[in-house]
Amino acid sequence: MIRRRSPVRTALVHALLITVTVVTLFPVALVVRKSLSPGNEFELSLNPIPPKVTTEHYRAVLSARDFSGSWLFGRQLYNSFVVALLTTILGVFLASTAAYAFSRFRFPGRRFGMMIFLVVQMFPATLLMIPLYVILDKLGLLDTVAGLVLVYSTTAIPFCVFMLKGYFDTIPRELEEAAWIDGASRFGMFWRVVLPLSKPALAVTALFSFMTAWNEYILAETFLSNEASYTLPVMLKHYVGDKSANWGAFAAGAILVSMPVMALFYMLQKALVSGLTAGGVKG
Amino acid sequence: MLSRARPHRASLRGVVYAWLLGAALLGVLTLGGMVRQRNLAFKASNERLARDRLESMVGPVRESIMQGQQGQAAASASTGSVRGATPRLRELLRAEVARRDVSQAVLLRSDAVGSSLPFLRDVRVVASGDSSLPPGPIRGKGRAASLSPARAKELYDWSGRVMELRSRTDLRWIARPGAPERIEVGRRISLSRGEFILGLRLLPVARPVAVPVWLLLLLLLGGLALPLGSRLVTGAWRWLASAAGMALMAGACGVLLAGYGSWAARAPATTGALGLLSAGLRAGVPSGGLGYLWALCSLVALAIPLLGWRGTGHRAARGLVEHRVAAAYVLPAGLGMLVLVLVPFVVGIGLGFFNHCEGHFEYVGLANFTDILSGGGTSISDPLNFWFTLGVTLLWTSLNVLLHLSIGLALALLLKDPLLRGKGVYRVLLILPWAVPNYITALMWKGMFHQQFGAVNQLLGLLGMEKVSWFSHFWTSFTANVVTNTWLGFPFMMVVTLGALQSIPKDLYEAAEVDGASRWYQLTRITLPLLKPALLPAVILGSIWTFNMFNVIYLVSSGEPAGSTDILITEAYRWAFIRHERYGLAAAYATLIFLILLGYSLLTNRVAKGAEETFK
Amino acid sequence: MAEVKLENVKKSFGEVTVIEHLDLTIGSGELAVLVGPSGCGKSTTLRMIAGLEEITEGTLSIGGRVVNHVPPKDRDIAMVFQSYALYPHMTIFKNLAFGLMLRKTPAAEIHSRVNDVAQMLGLEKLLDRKPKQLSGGQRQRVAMGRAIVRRPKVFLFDEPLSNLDAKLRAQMRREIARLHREKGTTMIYVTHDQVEAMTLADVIVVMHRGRIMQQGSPLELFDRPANRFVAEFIGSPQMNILHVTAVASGDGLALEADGFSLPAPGGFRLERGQRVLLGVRPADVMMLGADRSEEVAACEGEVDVSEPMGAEALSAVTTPVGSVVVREPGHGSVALGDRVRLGFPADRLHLFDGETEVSLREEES
Repeated sequence: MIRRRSPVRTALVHALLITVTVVTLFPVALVVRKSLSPGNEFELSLNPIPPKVTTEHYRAVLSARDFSGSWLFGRQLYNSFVVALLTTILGVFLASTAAYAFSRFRFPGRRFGMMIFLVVQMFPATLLMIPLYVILDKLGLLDTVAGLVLVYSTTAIPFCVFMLKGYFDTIPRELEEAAWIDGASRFGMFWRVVLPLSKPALAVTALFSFMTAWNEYILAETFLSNEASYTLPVMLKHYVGDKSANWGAFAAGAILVSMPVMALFYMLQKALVSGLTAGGVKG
Repeated sequence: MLSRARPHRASLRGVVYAWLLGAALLGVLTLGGMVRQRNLAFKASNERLARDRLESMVGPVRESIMQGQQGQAAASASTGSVRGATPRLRELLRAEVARRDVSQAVLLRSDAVGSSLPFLRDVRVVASGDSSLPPGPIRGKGRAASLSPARAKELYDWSGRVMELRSRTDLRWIARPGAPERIEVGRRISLSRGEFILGLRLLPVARPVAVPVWLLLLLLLGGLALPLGSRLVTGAWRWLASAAGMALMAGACGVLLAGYGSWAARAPATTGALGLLSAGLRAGVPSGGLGYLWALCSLVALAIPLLGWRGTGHRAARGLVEHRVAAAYVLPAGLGMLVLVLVPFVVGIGLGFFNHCEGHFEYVGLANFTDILSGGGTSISDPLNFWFTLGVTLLWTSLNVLLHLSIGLALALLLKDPLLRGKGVYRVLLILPWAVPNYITALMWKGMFHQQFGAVNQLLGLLGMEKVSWFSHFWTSFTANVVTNTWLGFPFMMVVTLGALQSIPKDLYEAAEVDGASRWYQLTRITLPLLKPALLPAVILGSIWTFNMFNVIYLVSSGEPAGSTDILITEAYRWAFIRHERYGLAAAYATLIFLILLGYSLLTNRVAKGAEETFK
Repeated sequence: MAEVKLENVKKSFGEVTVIEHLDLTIGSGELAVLVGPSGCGKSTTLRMIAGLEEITEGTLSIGGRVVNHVPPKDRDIAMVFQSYALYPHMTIFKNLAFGLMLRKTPAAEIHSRVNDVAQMLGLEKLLDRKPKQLSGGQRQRVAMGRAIVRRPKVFLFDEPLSNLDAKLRAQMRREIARLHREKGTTMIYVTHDQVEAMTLADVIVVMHRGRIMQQGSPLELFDRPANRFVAEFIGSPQMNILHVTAVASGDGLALEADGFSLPAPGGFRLERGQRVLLGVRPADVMMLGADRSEEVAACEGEVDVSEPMGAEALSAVTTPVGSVVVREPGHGSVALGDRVRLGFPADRLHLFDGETEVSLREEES
C-alpha cells in the first residue's frame, strides 16, 4: 500500500535520522581524526576534521620494535591473524561435525549434551580464566598461539554448534538418503551434500569465530606475557595503559585493527542476525 | 512418521576419521608443548640473545655486587660449584645446602623478595638477622596479591633471569612456572651495596616414589573392562570377573586418593608426552585441599560405572558401540569442550568451596557463599557488599536493555517506511558501532569521558556547562558506562527489529486501514504485539550479554569511584586477580552469576514459549 | 530383473511396532503399487526395501539375495522421493551423474548415459541449470532421470506425483507406465491415491495399520475386495456399507434391518442370525421411481444431497439403514427432497462379516 506522506513529515524523519547518525558516527570520527593529527592527547576540539594531517601515529604503530629490534607490529598482526584463522578453521570444523551429529543422530545423551552446550555459555567466560590459566600452564601452552586457538575455538563452539544445528535441521533428510542410495558413504553425505548446502551458515559461523578471536582482549591479556606473542588487542590496550596514554597511537592502531573485522562484519551481518536470534535462545 | 533411526553400518570410515581428529588435537597439544620447550631451549642456546637479555636484567645486580665486593661476582651457587663468590658467601651457601638437605641455593635481590614475588608464595623466613622480617610465613601485604597472573609470570621470569646467571639448564627449569618446586628464603645477607636474601631452591634430594601413570591407567582400564567383559561369561566366572574388576577399581581409587596428595604435589615435572599427560592429570592440583577435591571428583567419576556396573556401565558401552558413528562426530568437539570448557567450568564451580590464600587451597564449604550473601560484614551501601553490586548490576542490565530496545525499536520503525529515501545508507551507518570491537569502543569512550581532554566535557563546555569529573561520582561514572554500552548495543536491537518487521504480513495493516485504525492504534495493536515473539529471544540474549559485559565496565569506569560501579562479573574478577587472589571467593561469585542467569533464562524461556503459543 | 521378497518382516521404532509379520512377494518385472491411508506402513516398507530403515525381524531379499544388512548403495536399487530430493547445489547434469560418479564410472560413459536419459525425458536443455530454476514437472523428471540413469534392478517410487497438479500428474503417470513397459524393470510404487494405484499397477498391495489387507490386480481388488477396508478404500465414490442381519425367509435367507429387506444373494457363506455388512458401490445402486414394481426395492428414502456433475450425478439418500450414495449417469433422475426407492442388484453386492469385516464370498474353484 502506498501512502502519500506530507513533506514536512518526511523532512522531520530525515532530520531525526541524520541527528542520530551524526551522534553515532561522532566518536568514530574523533578516533579517525586523532589518528591523523599530531600529539598524544585528545585535543580540545570537537571538529572532526584534523587541523594538520600527519601519518606519524600510523607509522609509529606500524614500525614499533622491541628492544631486540624485531618488528613488533608485524609479529603481533601475524599472531592475531594466525590465531583468528586457526580458531576459525578449528572452530568451524569441530562445530560442524558436532552439530551434524546433534541434528541427525538420535543417541543417548543428545539432549543432555545440547543442554550442556547451552548452559555452559552462561558461566561468565571471564572467570573460566583461573582454571584455564592453570590448565594451559600445565600443558605448556601459555604464551603460545596453540593455547589461544584452543581456548577461543572451544568458547566459540557452543554458539557455532547451535547455529549450525539449526541450519542442518532445515536441510531435508531425503537429500542425504538420496545420496546414500546413489552410493555415498555416511561421511560422503555430510561432505558432499550437507556441507555444500550449508555454505551460508558456515560462512556466518566462520565469521563469528574469526571475530571472537580477533576481538578478544582479556583472555589474551592474561595468557600472554611476552610482547612478541601479543595479539593486536593486547597491544592496543597497552598504548593507553595506566601510566601513560598515547591516544594517537591507540587511535591509529584501533583503526588498523578494526578495518578487517568491520569489512567482514558488513559482508555477513544479515546472516549473523538471523543466526543469533534463531540459535541463541531457542536451541 | 516416527523418528527415523537409521542403520549405522559399514561406517568405519567415520570412526577412523574421528579418531584421527582426536589424535590431531592431542598432537596439537603435545606439539604446542614441545615447540614451546624447543623455543626456550633455542633461546637458551642463542648466546647473544640470552646474554643480552641477561645482562639487561641482571647486569645491575651483578654490578652492584662487583662494586661492593670488588670482583666477587657470583651471586649464587649450586651444589659443589660455587663459583666466584666471596669465601663468606660460598661458605654460607654450602652450609645452608648441607644443613637443609637441598640441592641448590640461589641468591635473590632483596627488593625482589620485598615485592613478594608471587612464586614465592610459600616463602618462609627461616632465620632472619633483621627484626623487621620476623620468622614465619611472609604475608602478602597486598602487593603480591595485586598482580595479574600475567604480571606475576613476568616477575617470575624476571626472577628466573637472576638465576640464569649460573647455568643454562636453569632456563629449562624456568620454563615450567608453577612447577611444584619451592623456594625458601634462607638468610639475609648484607653486602655493602644493598641487601640480599639467600634463597634456597628446594629440589628434594631424594624424589618420592611417584605412582607410574601406566599403573594407574592399567588399574582403571582393568577395572572398567572386567565388569563389562563379564557379560560374555556365565555363572561363577561372571561373579569372579566382576569382583576382580571392582577390586581393581577400588585399588585405583585408593591409589588416586593416596597419590594425589603426595605424588601429585611432589612428583618432579617430567617432559615429553608422558609428562604432558601427567601434567594434564595434575592440572590445577598443587596439593592440599584442591588435591582432595580432585580425588573426590575422580572417585565420583569412577563410582558411576562402579555403581551401575551391570546396568549402566554395560548399557553405556553398548550404546557407545551402537551409536559409534554419532560418537565419532561429537568426539572431536566434545573432547575440546571437555578439556577447555567443562573442566574449567567444574573446577570453577568447585573452587567456590575453597579459600585460596597464598598458594594454599583450603576447603571451607559454603563459607564463601555465606560470606558473599551475608555481605561479608559490610553494610548494604558499601560497594563491596554483594547486594549493592547485584543492585548495580540489575540496574545496569535493565537500563541498558531498555535503552537498546527503545532506541533500536524507534530507529527500526523510522527506517521501515518503504518510501523513505536513503534508508540503506542510514542502516549501514547506524550499525557501525556493532562492527567496532567492543574493547576499542570502551577505550574510545574512556577517552571521550576524560576530564580534561574528553570530547564530552568539551561539548558541555560549549553549552556553557562546567566540566564534569566523570569517574569520581557514582552516578556520573555509571552514566558514562551506560552511554558507552548503549552506543555499542542499540544497532543489534535495531537490526533484529527491522528483520522482525519484515515478517509482519502487509495485509494486516491494510485490514486495519480498512477498519479505520489510526497509526498509533496500528503500532500498539499490530506492530508491537507481533514483534514480541521475535524480540523476546533478542532481549534475553541481550540481557545475558549486558549482565556479563566485562569489557565496558572494566575498561571505561574500572569500577570507579571505589568499586561502586562494578557489576558482579568485574567484582569477581577483582577478587580473583586484583584483591588478594581470592580465587575461591571469585569462583563463588561466578557460580552465583551463573545461577542467576540460568534462573533468568529458564524463566524467560517459559515466558517465551507461552508467548509463542498465544500466537500459534 | 529381480524379484523382491519380504518374509515375516517386522519393523518397530523403539517400543512401537509399525509393521508386523509382513509377507510380500513382488515378481520380477512387476509394477507393484503399495497403497493405503497415511501411517499404514507403506512408506516404511518401501524404505526398508531401499535400506533406509533397518529391518527389525525377518528377511528381505532382492533377486534371491538376502539384503537385510546390505547398505542401500549396494542393493542395486534407485529411488524417487516425494520431495524429489534433488541436490540444490548441483546442476541437473551433476544431479544425474552423481550416482555414477560415486561409483567411479568412466567420464565418457557418464556423459553418454546422462545424455541418453536427458533425451528420453526431454531434459537436454536443462542440464546446466540448478534445480531451483526448474518447474515442478521438470524437477520430477530429473528425479526420475536420476533413478533411470543408474540402471538399477529395482525402481522405488515414494509418492512421486503428490506434489504435482492434476494435469501434470496424469501426464507423468502415463510416462511412468511407459517407462515400465519399455524397461520391464521391477518397480515398487507407494501412493495414497487409489486412482494412481488402479491405473498404474500390475499388482496392488493394500496396506492398513502395518498389515497387508489384500494383494491382487486392480480389477480383482475392485470386483472382489477381501474385506471391508479394501472395499471402502478402492473405488470412488466410496462403497456404501449397510449394517444388516441375515434372517430366514422362506426357504432361503434374507438380509434385513429396520425398514430394509433384501433376499440374500448367492455365492456367500451366510448363517442365520449373522450380522452382516452389506456393501454396494454407488454406481450399482438402482434408483427406483415410485412407478417401478415393488419387488426389487430394498428400502425407501429421501434424497438429501444432490450433486449433478454433468456426466454423472451423485445423490445421497437417507434411508432407515443410513445414508446411501447413488451414482447415476447423465443428469440423474431425482431432485432434492424426492422420496425414492432403492434397488440392490444381487450380482453386484459384497457381503462382509459383521465382526471380522472379512468378505463372506465363497471361493471360486
